[in-house]
Amino acid sequence: MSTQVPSQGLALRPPQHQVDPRCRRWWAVQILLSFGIPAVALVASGVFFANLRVWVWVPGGVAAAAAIGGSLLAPAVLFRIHRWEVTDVAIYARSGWLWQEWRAAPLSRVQTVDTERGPLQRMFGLATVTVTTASAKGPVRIEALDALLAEDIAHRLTALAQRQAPADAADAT
Amino acid sequence: MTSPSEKGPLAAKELLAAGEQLDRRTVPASALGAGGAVAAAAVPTGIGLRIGDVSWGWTLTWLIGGTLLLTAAAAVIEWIRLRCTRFRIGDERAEYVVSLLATKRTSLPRERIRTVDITANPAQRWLGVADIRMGTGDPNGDITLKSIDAVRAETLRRELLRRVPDGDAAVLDDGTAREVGELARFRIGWIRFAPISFWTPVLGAGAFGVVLQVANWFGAENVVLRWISDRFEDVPLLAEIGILAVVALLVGAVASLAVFTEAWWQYTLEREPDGSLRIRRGLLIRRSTTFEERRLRGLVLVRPLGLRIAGAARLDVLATGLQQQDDDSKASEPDTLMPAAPLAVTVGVAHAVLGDPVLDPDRPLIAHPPAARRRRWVRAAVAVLAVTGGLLLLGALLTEVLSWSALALLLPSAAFAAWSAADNYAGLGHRTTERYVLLRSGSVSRRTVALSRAGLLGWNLRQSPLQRRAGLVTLIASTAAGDGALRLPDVGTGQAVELLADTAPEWRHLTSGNFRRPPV
Repeated sequence: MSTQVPSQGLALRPPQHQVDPRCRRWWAVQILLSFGIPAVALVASGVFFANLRVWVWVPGGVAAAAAIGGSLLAPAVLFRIHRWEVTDVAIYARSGWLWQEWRAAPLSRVQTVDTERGPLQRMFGLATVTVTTASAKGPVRIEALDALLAEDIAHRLTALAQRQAPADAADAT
Repeated sequence: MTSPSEKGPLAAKELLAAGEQLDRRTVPASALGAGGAVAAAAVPTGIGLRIGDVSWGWTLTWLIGGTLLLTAAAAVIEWIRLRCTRFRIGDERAEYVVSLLATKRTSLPRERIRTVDITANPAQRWLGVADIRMGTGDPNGDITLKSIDAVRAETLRRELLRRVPDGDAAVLDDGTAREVGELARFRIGWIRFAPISFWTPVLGAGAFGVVLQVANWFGAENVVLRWISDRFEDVPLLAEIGILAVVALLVGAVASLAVFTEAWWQYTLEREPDGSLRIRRGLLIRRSTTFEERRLRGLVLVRPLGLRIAGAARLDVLATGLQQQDDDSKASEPDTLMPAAPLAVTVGVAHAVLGDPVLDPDRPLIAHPPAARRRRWVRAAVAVLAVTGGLLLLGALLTEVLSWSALALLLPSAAFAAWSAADNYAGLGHRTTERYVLLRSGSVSRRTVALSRAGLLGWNLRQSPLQRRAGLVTLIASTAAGDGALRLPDVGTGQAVELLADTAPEWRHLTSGNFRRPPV
């Protein structure tokens, strides 16, 4: 079931693996919360302040629609875009939605490998792997990996990166 | 860094007992410096007091008394600071301790020192002392000795950054030898580029503000405003505004000339025998900055619109270990390698520094595809239509004046937008050479980056929905220098893939089409 989004003109094939399918529920909950909470707050404040109703119920309704529509539609699209790959020489990640990002870091330049599990991620058994180089910008992040797989990848990357002596290691400020 | 490490930094107490004291001359130097600053401030204060109808006697008493008091206070504070400060430059570490009520100790391994700056104001120069700052690129890891003997500072500078024995030629990692000695020297003619800067209007407007603020302290604001309006008794308002604007620009031009001269007078750029680059500059305050050459990742040829019209350019350095502007709004270390100078001179210096003529303007860059130009024209058109449409709408709703001004502004704003679109597209370009990647973009502020391929850590790609339709992509080069990211907007997707495959081998993995179905 390789449902890859064609990379419109960019003659790069997408990284090999999709993120964990549970990410769809995780993203749905995130969208539901980030639009749903303001929606509830706006609608509730309309109940208490009757003279403000038009001004709060309209944006409240829009936020509620965004929460429901977004959490139903967006996760499937995000799931198709988010991909990753780790080889013996580099790590690749594609992310984003409207603005898509392709990131790669050669393992010889890798300085730190972190895994991270937020409270929501823990509920769905997911984790994020972040790989940084000597650059202050642009770490490679793979969100929404299976937690065990993330640990596994982090160990493998650390071992691989240590074997390839970092050329810019002296610049670790 | 205050954490003790295996290299055995001294405890604060030991350091206080065994360390060196700063130079005693720092007390008269600071007192003189403070006295000078207060005396300079006394002149406008005196004028203000006189305008405020204070008698000559009282004015002089206030000024002289205040100056003496503040100078004495500065001397006392300096003396206390001198007594509670010790430092030690050992074989392994540089250490520094201040102990008054609390004790603050800084200890850094010598190999982490990346820049050494020496500064001396006129009082310090007269007394033969200087401040020396050892920078690590970490805002909390710096040591500033304020002040020590000037000759000692110079010796320390050489010792702290020396990584190779004396006498070796500057041979770099890539095995190429570089020119040692003076690479650039200040020419008096360069000051003509100083007023061509956004500082000119800013300083000009600021001058008016300062005059009114000072007048306000003495309740003389009205006197000043009346004096100005008296000058323009028989002049129409528009002409008055025009004349005031010209005066402000002239004042601003003089001020930016003064700032530039103070900063860059007698500027020299040298390469020392160990390969590090040294900048010396300054009229009143003499500054010396030294970069280790192995921290150099490339150069940036900076050509804002004004400098381009004047045929000039500035050089910035891309180096690791320079402090960046961070969230604590600490000032970033300056990264200017050379002030604005005629283009040919600047390019020659860039050539000498890099040992490679990559930044020569007669070596054309690869232009970006027509889609990038179309994008800029569409953007310009949308901006002009939005502004005009918005003003017309407001004019219809509120007052007719807005509609008329919208129509009056249409032509100039359209002309500017068209110029900006064309010029911005003309600025886009990139090229790879054996040792460098060149990235150029920008219109009002155009920058050509020459990033060494060894200093290129990797690329990231970013595509907006519109870019995807137009077959364009924004490339972001990551590097350990500067703020870590260098943008190259709107590269053609084909060009991008070529550039990636050429400069970053890891991307070839995604271009070879070896796609396997993911394991289910």
